[in-house]
Amino acid sequence: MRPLGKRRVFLRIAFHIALAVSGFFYMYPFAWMLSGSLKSQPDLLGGGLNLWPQRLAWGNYAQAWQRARFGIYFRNTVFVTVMTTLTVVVLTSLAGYALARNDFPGKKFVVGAILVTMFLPRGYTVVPIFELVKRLGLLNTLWAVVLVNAATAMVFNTFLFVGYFATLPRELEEAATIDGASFPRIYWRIALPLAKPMIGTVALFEFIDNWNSFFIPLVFTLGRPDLRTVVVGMYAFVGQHSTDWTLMYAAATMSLLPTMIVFFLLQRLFVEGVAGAIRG
Amino acid sequence: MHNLWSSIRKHIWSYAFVMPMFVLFLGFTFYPLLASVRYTFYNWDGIGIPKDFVGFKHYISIAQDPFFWNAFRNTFVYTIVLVPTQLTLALGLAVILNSNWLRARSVFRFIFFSPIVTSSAVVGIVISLAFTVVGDDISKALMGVGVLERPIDWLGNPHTALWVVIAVGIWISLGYPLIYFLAALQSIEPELYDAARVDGAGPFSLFWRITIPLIRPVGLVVLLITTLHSLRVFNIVQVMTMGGPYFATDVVGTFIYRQAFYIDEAGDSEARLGYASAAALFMGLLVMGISLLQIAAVRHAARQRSENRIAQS
Amino acid sequence: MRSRFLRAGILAIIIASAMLTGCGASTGTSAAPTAISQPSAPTATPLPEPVTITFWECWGGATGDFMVEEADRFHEQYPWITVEVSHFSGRGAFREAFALAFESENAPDTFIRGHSFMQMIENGWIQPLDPWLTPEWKARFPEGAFSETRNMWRGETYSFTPFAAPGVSRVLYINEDLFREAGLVDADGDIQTPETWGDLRSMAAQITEAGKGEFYGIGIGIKDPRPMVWWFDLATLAGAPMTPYDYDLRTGKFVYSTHPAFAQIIELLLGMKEDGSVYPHEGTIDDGNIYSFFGQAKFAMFMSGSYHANNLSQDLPDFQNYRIVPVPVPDEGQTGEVPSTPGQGHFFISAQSQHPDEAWLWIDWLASRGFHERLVSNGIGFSIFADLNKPESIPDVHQAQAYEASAAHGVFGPFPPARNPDTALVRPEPVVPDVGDMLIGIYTGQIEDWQQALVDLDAHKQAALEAAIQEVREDGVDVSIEDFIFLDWNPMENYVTKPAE
Repeated sequence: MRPLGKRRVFLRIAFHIALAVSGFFYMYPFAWMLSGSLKSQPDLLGGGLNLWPQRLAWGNYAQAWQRARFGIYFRNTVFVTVMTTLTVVVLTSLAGYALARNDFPGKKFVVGAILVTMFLPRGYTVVPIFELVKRLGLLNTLWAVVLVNAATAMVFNTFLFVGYFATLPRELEEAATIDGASFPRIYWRIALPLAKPMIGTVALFEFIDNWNSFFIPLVFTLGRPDLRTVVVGMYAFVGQHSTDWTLMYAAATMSLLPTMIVFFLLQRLFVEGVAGAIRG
Repeated sequence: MHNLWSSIRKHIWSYAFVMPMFVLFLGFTFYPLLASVRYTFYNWDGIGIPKDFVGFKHYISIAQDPFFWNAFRNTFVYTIVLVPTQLTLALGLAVILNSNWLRARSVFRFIFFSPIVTSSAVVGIVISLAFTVVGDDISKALMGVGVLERPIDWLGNPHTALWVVIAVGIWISLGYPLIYFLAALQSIEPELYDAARVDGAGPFSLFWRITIPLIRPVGLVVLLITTLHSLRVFNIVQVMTMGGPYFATDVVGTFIYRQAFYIDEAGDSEARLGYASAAALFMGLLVMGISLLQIAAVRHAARQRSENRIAQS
Repeated sequence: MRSRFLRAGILAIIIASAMLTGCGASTGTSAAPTAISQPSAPTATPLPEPVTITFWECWGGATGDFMVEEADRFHEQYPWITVEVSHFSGRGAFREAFALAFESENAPDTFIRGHSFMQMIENGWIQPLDPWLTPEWKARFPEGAFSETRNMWRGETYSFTPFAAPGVSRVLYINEDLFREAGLVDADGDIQTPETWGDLRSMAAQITEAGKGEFYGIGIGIKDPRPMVWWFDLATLAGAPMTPYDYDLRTGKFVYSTHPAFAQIIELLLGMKEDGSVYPHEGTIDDGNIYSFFGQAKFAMFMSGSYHANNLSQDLPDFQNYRIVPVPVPDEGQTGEVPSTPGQGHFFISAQSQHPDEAWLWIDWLASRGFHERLVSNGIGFSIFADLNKPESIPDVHQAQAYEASAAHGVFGPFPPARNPDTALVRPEPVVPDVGDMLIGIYTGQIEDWQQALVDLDAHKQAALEAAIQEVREDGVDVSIEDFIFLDWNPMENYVTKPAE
């Protein structure tokens, strides 16, 4: 690296500070939720925008865990989220690659159908999907939740992969084709490793969406309340005339932890350079 | 015919790759769409099977409903302001968060990502607190100087409410395009930048000539997704203003929600799911129509330009 | 290289654990509710087979917790029956899930009322309690507790009304400290409270002036249209009609633009706004958070349901210097009371229940004196058994005040379905904008010509009612506008609606 002049260093430090300050304000609601989870209700309601609890109410967490039945719901949520994310990443990357690289009969039909439904709404009632799942005999199972959540994520993510694969340079694939590699092999060996950033992104957002999904898990497990998910449990604190904010924040924070972990894990996928992989 | 069949056989792997996604799509996206189109021709409260056939009555009502067009206008303003602003901010931020000289990059990335994992209920509360606590102080200061007569109620004032909603909308979903842009930036080989720098290109030139063209495909998808998401905004509006005051921030999402989930004092659901579905479909067709017109206009302009060029040469 | 293996390893562990938990989750047995204790002493006679019945509610909060406690108490009394309480976060989710549950035959055994009673009847979701009811059981309830289209249909009884009736749903909350600071104290040293609408405006102004920007006279929320309707409900004290039948029950006509009380209330609202007496954050206040602002002394008065006493004691227990009083009456004097309709049923047994006998025992429990005593003493609500609402039984002084305030102005009004049950089938289309939205628009000034808006409101509502009647007639049902007119209705007294001869 070139040696930096003093002015440059000063500018960079100033920039960092500016970014940190704007970051603080940007992150305020998140911080408020964390701090609220450790407050008592009067402290929260009377404290205005103050971030520091008067007394740390760690007991909120134990109470929230128990009342929101986190023990059971956590298992269910992990299952649904992981299986859905895997399904989405695999199916949409496969489809995205084929659509980006090959021109096959019927491609226009597929793309057209998908585009049209992107514009048009899916409907305001879950009844058609409910009937379909019922006919498949999957009601009251977690597989129903996985299926529905994964299926509804097909369209956007396929498009993302199409866009991403279209960007990648074709030299490696052309070289492999000349060497006699089949299409799936090229996908597995070359395209997929190059797609790590998009895989990381899709996985991250699918994880978040699924972890926080509320209505589908509720509706497809009506007969088996033990199969419900963490967010559903969190809503135990929301009432018709009043809400137990501090406990809900504690529950929300606990629910948030896996998402944060996944974010930091997956981050490296979509930020570490792909250029190295191309060279190798 | 023989050509078609051999073509299909040649691309057998493509079909295999696309089929699973397409099957799920057909079952859980396309089929419900068709079903909801069917509902638009009925009066239906969401329970059982629709029985009250009304034909195109709903579409005519919506086209004549001034509240629908009010919601449409608000949604349009919301989208037109949000999309360019948010995408520009996200792209700029992505470039910064991708730079080598930034310390604690992971932390910063999480900071700008955090609103996505904060529930909208929390956001609503913090916003209302912010406006009452901080807003009071600001208003008092302004009143002391004589600029204001009474404190401004940002969310209750029909002139300011929509702008507040837009600002919060930009803030809360900035993380999505940010992460997508970060991912897209990864596909650019650093060697391209190095080569250009050797040629004497400055940072802006690098940005315009290399970065932008290379992330364009992903950028277009992000543009499309962000636009569609904005047109469908619902959650933050419902939490902050419920579409009020007096429909000043009513968007198509809240308009439709009121039709679909209306509960009166007695607990009767005046749920008009047929009407709600028709409104949603109407909106979708409007948006599609506008987009097609835009694409046609752009193509037409491009053709004009190339024709002019040919004519001039 | 190493990092790639590490990541693959982590992924493999996650998948493996997911598969393991997945197997467990889809074939596991249903979890038992948390705090159930099995009886330790052996009983003489063998217990019946253990049965679990489900109970769905969407109240949450303190009420939800109370129901769970009661379910545990019930289990101690009937050890072979376990009541599993399922909570839903709100009415919307509850209703949608409810309808789907019946369609897929996963319906709960017992539940609270989410849809209206008539809708549940029409969809065949509930079963009558008559197989278990005795005349003595029904006689425990006061007169008017059972009525057609509310908890009875065609002679069969489906539920009972648990909460006190008649009552006014809204009361006025007064911050005593702020009233004192504003000098609103009478000769005996007790604070003066607003008796009339004029008082409300003048006292609010006086308090605001004393506040000098630190606190205001009154808090009003315009975020949610429903609490705005409550302002028009005040007009009933002047003999005007309001929810749920907001046309004049003596003439069958809508009188928003002709009865002076409505104009007076609009002028009251606009007047208080102009005086600057309203806490200037109306757009952020709704019925869910108004009590927290009140508890922080941002304003001295607000009007809402009596449930905020409970919220305040739970969330801001140090805030005690407030009082709950009845809502103010017109300046010219009170010429009407607030009419209520007979209460709707709240707890039902599903028509699909596999365990109706056990379900009945639970419903019976919810109608027992013990349950109602605890309902009152826990501050959940006021019981249909009026003698249980004595101030001595209500531990919280503010709860007791709330009860007095809501009992002050309530009477039973005419109830068309009691005379002709088919009137319950008449459902007028909602008018847009409806009263709540219109009042918000008038308050913010978005609707300038409010006199015209009221005229339009009358016209639209009249047309909607007449169209609804017409639609029902076309199905062959004998209903007319006459069924909605009660010539002998005196707004100051209880009205007993007699069935048609």
